[in-house]
Amino acid sequence: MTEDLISRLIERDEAALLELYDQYGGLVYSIAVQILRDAQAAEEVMQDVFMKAWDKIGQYNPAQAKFTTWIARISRNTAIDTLRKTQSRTPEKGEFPLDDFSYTLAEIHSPDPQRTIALHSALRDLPADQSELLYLAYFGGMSHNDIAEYTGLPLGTVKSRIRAGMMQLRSIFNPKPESNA
Amino acid sequence: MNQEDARTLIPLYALDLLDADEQAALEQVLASDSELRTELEQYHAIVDDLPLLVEARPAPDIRDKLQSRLQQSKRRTLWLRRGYWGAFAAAIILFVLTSIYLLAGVDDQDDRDEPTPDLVQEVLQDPESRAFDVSATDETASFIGRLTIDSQTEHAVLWVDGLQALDEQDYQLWFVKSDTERFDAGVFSVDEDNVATYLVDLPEDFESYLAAGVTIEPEGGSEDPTSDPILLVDLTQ
Repeated sequence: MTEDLISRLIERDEAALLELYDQYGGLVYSIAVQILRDAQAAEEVMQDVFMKAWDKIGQYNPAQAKFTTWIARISRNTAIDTLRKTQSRTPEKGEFPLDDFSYTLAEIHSPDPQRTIALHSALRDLPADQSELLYLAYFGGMSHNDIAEYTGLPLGTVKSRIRAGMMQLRSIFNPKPESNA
Repeated sequence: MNQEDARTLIPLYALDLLDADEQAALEQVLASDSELRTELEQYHAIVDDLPLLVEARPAPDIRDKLQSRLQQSKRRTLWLRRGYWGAFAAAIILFVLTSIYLLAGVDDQDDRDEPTPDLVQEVLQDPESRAFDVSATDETASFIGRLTIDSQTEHAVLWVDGLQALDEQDYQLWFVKSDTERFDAGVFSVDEDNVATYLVDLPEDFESYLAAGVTIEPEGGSEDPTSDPILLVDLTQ
């Protein structure tokens, strides 16, 4: 499916770009709106992302990343760039919904739905103070310092909670004990 | 940095959270430690899955907007390709037109800045004329305009309301035929009401042109566009 689509994009087939939109529009928009918290801005970013994909499809290397990963990275980077251009400050408390975020399964985009379901469960099982910081780091596009300022937590605590959350998630998918020397 | 120090940074590295110094130090360790690289891949796999866990739906008209952006991008790409042959062809056309003007006793190109009222009215009022809306390339621009083409008289009138007056620069109109061919249609300015009414001699094979555009150029104009267009006209509609 995607290989044929990519070939057609490289050949500058305009219909292929619209098909790409049909397949990945939901994913791109979901990422953008999570980061920007603004539907209109997310829609602008969405168009930018697909135009970037159109212009840069020749740079996509299937050996380096799945296509979903590639376009998701473009989406996140573009949304974060937009966020930083329009918001040259640490967000106000409450600007991100720390209390009510939820991970809604989007199986259609996952090349490995079982893994996605497991990740969904694992995230829900994480202590809230870890999953919230992970959310801010990924979807908030915040640095350590931004998160520390935003949450009022010491920088060291921010780092250790994010690290602990990530290590817990990794341990679920890679249960083999770490080979610490 | 030893392996354990590096190991504590890898989860943060996967989330792009490290500062430049930490990142450089970690990458140095990763380069020589395949075990840590495997860990990093595992963390990356988690980060890559995160966007799959949220779902929202865009407004239904975004697809149409994307299609419109694609068309605009194509015109822009066409515009920005400045090949040697394009310059060469434009130079020949300009030379021929200049020769015709000189033989006909026309003084110089500056005269093209002064619209001939009768001819302008003739173009605008000819029922056979075709009008094309201009599109600003900057969405924040507030001007409006129209390019009216009269193939009977082989003239066109570009009318734009809301352009800023320029200092030591001119607006320059171009017609674009292909990736490599462009026709210089001369320079113009705006009046005290910020309105431009510019009468254009159409190129001979006008029907084969795909788009027109206006750039801001040094006073007197340029041989080729030196900036992106501020407005475009799609002649294929």
